[in-house]
Amino acid sequence: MNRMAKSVGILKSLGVFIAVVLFLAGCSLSPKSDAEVVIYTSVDQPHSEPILSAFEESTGIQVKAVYDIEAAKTTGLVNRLIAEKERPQADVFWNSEIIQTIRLQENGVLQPYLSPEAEGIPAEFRAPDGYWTGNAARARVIITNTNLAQGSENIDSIQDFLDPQWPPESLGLPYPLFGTTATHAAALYDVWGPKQALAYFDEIAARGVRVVDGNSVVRDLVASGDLIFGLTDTDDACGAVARGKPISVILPDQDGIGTLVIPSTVALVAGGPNPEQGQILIDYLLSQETEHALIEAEYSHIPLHESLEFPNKCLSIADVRPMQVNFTNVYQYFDLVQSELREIFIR
Amino acid sequence: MSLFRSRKIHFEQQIIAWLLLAVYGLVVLGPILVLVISTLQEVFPKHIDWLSLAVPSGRSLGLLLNSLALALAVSFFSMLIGGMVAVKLWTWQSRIPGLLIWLVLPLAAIPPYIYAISWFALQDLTGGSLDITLFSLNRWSGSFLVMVAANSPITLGCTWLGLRMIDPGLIEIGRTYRSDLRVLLQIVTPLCAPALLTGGGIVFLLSLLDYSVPSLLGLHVYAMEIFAEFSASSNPQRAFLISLPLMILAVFVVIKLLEPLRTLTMRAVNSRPSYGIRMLFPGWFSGVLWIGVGLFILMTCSPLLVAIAKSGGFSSIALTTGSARQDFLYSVWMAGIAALLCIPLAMLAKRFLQSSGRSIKAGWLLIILPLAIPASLLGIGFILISNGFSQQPDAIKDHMPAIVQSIRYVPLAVLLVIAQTRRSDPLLQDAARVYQASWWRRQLQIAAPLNASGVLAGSGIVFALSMGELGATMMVLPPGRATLTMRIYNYLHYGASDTVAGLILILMLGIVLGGLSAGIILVIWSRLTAASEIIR
Repeated sequence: MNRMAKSVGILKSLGVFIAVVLFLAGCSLSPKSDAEVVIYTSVDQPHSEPILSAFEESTGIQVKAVYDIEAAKTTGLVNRLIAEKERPQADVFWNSEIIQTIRLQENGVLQPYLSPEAEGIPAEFRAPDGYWTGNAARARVIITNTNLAQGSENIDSIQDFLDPQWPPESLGLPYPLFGTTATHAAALYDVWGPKQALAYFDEIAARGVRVVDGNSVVRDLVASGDLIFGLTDTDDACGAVARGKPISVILPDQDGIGTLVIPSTVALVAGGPNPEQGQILIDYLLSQETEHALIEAEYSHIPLHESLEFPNKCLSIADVRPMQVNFTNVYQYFDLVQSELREIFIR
Repeated sequence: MSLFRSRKIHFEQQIIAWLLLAVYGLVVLGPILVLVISTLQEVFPKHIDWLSLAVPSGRSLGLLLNSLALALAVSFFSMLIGGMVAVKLWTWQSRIPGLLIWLVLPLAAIPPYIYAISWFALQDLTGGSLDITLFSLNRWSGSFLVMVAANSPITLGCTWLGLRMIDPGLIEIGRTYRSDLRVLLQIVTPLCAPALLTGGGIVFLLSLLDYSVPSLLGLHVYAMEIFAEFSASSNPQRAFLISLPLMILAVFVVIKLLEPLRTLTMRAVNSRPSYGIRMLFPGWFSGVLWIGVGLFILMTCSPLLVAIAKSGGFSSIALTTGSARQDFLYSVWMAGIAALLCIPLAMLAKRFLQSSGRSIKAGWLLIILPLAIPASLLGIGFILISNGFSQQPDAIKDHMPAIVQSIRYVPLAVLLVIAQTRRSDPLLQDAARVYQASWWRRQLQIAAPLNASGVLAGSGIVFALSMGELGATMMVLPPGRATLTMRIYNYLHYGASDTVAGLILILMLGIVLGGLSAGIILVIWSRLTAASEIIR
């Protein structure tokens, strides 16, 4: 029985050890604060986290953030917000694009808030009723691998994805069902009309252009030379340029329909647990200082505050000719885009 | 005397057994039940046309067949490679294989997505010169390779368990009359088949339900359709209906797994080597086994090697560790709690399986069913449950990821608890009932030590898998918290490859150290508590 007694002793010691380790791990986590605000954000964590930390330091309000991940393909935060509508946990939603924010508005997840910081932002980038406000915009751009794309000076439009000069397996775009590419697809439906837009994507698929998992995958494949050129966002493109990758960035369709400019959007969640702190956070996120910080961090290259200067770090974007769209109209095509393009691209 | 010997069960004991299973089922299957009920409420009065979503046809049928083909191929080759490595380790007469297994098994917890990224990074590191033209990393072949790499540790672990369960006497008798190769093929393989099939079945389920790797490599699978629908409609009920064919397939596999599972859990794991003299195979066969080992090492070690190469050195890793400290601690905390929570659930299931008679098959089905449920649907089910409570204690909200992770992986804990339970002598339990009147003291002084090794093994697996879990966790993650896996994905998208490499190293080291610790403790425990010798 000595062995049994020893084994019981060891079991007790092991139990205490595990309990102590877990206790220490749990105690090391940040304690609760009296003033707090909860934000759900799909803005890249490396960019949004410093902004939120700076807000904490300047206001003393603890920020509890939930970050989205690209692998969730927007099913993450947006669907979580809709599912939590009856008992919202979030106060603020900071989205890296706009269509999903409008969808939340349509689903009754948001409530209006007219921030004083929104005054300098053009009307087309904020909801007239205050449900959402845009800032720190990005553009949909074409990136080319400078080592491979001989004749790349002729690449200047999204129609070049259909150009027989370029082998289709060397061209890439993200799934037009998710994220900013879905927004881009819906914008094309609005600008070209559904028939022409559908025909475009039909031909993209029929040609065998590579459709990949996301903007960052396009970036990585172009940088590595697996693709000659591809479609992505300015932050992905310019991030790669800053890391010394052999990439050049092109603003497409400057002589045509224009380049789609997509704002990040900030909105107040209806029924959130900390509405006052939520409003303070929204004011902070929409401020010129925050927009400037996001531009400095090269998340955004298109300031929406009229007083801020365009950066000239990665590409000359000051004279960008944006695609003329009304995002509320673009949203009307979203369901049609999803149903039609799913038939084409997931088969 | 077998623990699961058939006997007459009193009516009260059957009721207790079913009550235990009901508690287990309610806790583990609760989120899906809520989703089912909400779907029925949504569909039948207003949206009967939605039922067509549950019947794949045309394009979606093609996706389903694609998923099935990929899952079958991944399962088969994982069994092949895992089996080859297990045989090689089993024929290595030393205590080292026993420890090596605990080093390798936790690799199963590394998310498959990370294997895929490491292959891309490997190509990048070699300047694109690593042009594997035969198995170029595109679509089908790439998805297949990556998923075999990610899942082979599971089949290795199951096959190893199966080999250790073979009666050494049968092997020795066979070796008297036939060559070692024929003994391996005609005696060992059939006896090990339940374990091999169990591992293959689990890999099949995981491959069928995964979309992250196929979508990264451009291969369209049915699981992608579920998420495309969820993204488009934000409607969990529609996503649930679309997921039904996949879940039915998964349940079918679970049913087929029941027989090998029951066979597996009716045997004891041998603590001593299965045979006396080292087995000798023909040179060509040994060569094949070594090829299998080489492939396994190459595939499973690639994330670690690439992470080391790209991490940027110790100072960079230290910086990364510092910035991810909170996420790492939270991941450890949640995984630890998940590992603890699975213990009472696993003991409930074990108690049911020991008590029930003819209803054992139905019980096994319920116990294993969580493996067939897509992770994010589980998360959505939890949100629906939370919506039903006006106020939740902060303790519950803060630990939702642990609850979800525990539920996802408790079937694996049950398997290990049952398998290890077979090692302990039931006479000890019976003697304790005679001599120790107090139920509490009996549990503490007899039952707990006897069950400890199985509980430790089960908790260890749950801990390792919970560290890398993403799909369900991100749906229930409380605000202000993040896991290490989420940080890895976020930085992956951002393109900070050296930071990602450092984070992957931290994750892998945490998982491997956890697994190794559990293995070392198990070995020491087995030596110190050789309980079956006490009676003699």
